[in-house]
Amino acid sequence: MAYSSAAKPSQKLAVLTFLFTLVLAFIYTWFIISQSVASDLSILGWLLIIFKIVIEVCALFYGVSFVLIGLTYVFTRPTQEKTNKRVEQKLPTIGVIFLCCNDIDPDAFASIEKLEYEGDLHVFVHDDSVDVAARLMVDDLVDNLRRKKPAMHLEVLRRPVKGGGKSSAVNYVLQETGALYDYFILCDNDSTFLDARTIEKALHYVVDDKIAIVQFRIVGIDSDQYCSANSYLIKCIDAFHVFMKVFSRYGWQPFVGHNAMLRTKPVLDAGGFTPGFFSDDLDMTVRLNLQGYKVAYGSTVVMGEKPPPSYASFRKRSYKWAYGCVQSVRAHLLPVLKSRQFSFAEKQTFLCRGLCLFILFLIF
Amino acid sequence: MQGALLIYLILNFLIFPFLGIIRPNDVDYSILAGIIIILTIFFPFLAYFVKEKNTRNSLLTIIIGGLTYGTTDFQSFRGICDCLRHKKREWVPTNQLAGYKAPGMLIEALFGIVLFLPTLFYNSTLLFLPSSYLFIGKFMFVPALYLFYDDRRRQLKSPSQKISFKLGRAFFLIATLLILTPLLGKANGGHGAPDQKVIEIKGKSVYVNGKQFTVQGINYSPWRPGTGPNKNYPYPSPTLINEDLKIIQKLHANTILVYDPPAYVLDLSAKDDLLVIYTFSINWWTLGTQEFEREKERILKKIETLKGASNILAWELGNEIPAALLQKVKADTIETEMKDLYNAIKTMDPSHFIIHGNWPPTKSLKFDFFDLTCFNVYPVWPPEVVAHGYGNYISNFLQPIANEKPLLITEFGVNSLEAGEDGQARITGKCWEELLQAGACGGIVFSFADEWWKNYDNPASPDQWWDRKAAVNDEMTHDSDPEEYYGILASDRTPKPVYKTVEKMFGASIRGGSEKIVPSIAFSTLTLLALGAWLWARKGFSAIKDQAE
Repeated sequence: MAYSSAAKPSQKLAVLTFLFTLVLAFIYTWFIISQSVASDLSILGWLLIIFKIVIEVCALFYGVSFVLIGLTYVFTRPTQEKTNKRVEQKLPTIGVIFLCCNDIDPDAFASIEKLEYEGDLHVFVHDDSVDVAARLMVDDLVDNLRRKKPAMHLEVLRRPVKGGGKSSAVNYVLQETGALYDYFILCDNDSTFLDARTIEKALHYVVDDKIAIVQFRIVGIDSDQYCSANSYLIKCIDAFHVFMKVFSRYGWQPFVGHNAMLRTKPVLDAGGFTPGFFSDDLDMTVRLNLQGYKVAYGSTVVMGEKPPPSYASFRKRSYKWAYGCVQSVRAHLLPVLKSRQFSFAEKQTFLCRGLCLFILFLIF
Repeated sequence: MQGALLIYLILNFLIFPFLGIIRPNDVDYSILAGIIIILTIFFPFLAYFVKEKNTRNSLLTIIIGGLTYGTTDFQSFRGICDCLRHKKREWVPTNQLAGYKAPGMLIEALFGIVLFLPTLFYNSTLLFLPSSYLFIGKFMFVPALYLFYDDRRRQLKSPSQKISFKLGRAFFLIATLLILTPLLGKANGGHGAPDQKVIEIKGKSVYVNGKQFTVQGINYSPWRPGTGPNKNYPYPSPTLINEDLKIIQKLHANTILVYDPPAYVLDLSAKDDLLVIYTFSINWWTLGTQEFEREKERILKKIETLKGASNILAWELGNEIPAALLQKVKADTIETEMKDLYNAIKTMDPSHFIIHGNWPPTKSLKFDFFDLTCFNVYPVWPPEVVAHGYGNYISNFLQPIANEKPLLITEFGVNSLEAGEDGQARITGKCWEELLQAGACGGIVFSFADEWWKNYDNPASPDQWWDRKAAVNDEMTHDSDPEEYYGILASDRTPKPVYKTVEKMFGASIRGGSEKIVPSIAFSTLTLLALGAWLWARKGFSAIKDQAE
């Protein structure tokens, strides 16, 4: 089975996780209750014990799934680069949407220069910068790239009214330029192309019309501008590949908001990204899934990113993730649980992912 | 869920210790469970680093990643609450340098310390779970992380700073290992270790492995209903013994006194970190006869085979010599016979105490050659104890007999048939307080559980305890016999109210404080590490701020 096909993921891991958790939870609950009976607890004591058991059984579920995910990863064969011939005869037009807001990363932007593609390629830099120096820097970098790659269609977009965050910025670009390309690669300010054949490789994953998004494998980019903490944290970025790879085959594969190639039509048909949503990626994944589309994990298509530049920024991002996850869970929990488009394994992973803060809490 | 987990941490570390709810008692299992929890959490990452053969610096990556991702709980919690409260928030990019809030980070560090301290004092066994240091220790590193994790620091990188960083990194790893060392040391050497305990007397105190040791004992008889020691019933199985020992361990007892047990009782109790007073039943009526010589041989033979056990505290040569024996056998004879036996054992095994459980009716016997002076003393009998009061009797009558030797109360308690269950709890607690105040080096509660086999006779009628008639099958029924009601648990191991009392009184000074020492060392190391990291990071950060200004 191709990892990237729109076929349902295998249910094995989800069922195993569920059964193991059930057995261990039963044993653990029995143990705690038998201990508690001897302690002659009051009603309040029992309520506290029940709360404790609920939390610990949830933690047990994550523990079991972590072990099984790790083991699955170890025993899964490495993915070979895809070489299947694409079904479409004509090479599709590709857009690259590069977002920045006072924070363009020159190295990341310059990596666009590496891209080689035989079809039409459009690059749109959406700049929300309010700082004059930052805007000038964007213009300079774009001019520089234009000089180096004169054949590349390159354009800077600045929306007249800012607001609505990243979702609205992407919607603006899609509204202005969406008709020009069949697929677009969504980049954040630090998204770094590492492979000239990124687009070609990504297109191999679009094996049928139901693949709406190819999520690339993300690795940390090293830099001599990092503090010592970040020189270690980039390796953590690499390690999240374990979850992505296993989920793509045995669970629910989400789009993570950047470093991915999206099919333009389904995104536009879905009404674009939801303005103001902090987890616009989760939200988009679910809305596309509910319409029968899938996200493929392009594990051989690698793009780089950088960790936040400081601990304060890192914590801000955690706040944003937490806020966004709750937004997504509130908006989509019932539709997902009721939907026939989601298998048991996908529903289970959605819950894990939706409540991923829980994972982050336990990790660590 | 994040909120629920923060509440969980507060409950588990701040509330439960005071309520006495579910605390781990088995230190070995705690250490093992904690290590499994940590490995489970990091398992996918370990799997990644191993499979990708990318293990260089992976340990430090996991530690730094763990601390960074793990210390965002408060931010995440705030995000969840804001979303649930429909608080409007504008999306902002987070790939830029953000501000620095000193008070917030200090509060988070304080939160970590506040979670630690009550646990350390009231439920230190919880800190034998290495995962506890991860879950609550991480908060203490928030201030250091704020300063340490900032890309502006890179700008100041000089050769000397690089050396300083490498030294800091080495220190960090060593300190992390230091936190684990006492725990692992405890796991390897603290329980059932093959090495024997070093048992000494200093003044009127007992010392075990160099630390003062208050004997917090339970008289343990494993016989369950329908069985007993007198009719060739098989000794209870290791499974049953193990179940009982687990209960004893939960009481924070450190010693059991047990009659003629097989070797597996010693092995099992060693695993539960319990010392054993091995009591030999002696038929006192054979004293001065050839049969007593055979008793001596039996005892010596047994000691020869068991003296290598790691957790023997003392050999007890019988107890409660009947006062009537003194009318048959001279006191001198009894004392001489016992002294001969003492000397023979001491020659064979000089490293353990040899004691005898004397009692008030025969307190005049001169047993000052024994290593400890031991008495079985009950608060409601004999009348001389009642008349003087329990504590006073020990102080004024037994301490002078003990003279300069430690005094151990080898039996105390009261039965629940006469005193009532609440009375049993109250009186037992009071006895413990008074015997400690009277300067005893500890006491052994009589007894673990109600025993149906006791005496093979029963009161002829209710309330006529001393008018007794024989009961050949006494072990089959639970009769109205006070002797059958001394247990702190019923015969089916259901706790009586006195169970809680014993748990509380022994818990107040857990195992001579050793269970506090190890977590204290680990906690102190962690605190110093967090403080040191903060001071180190602060120095560099001030330089950045100065440069920026």
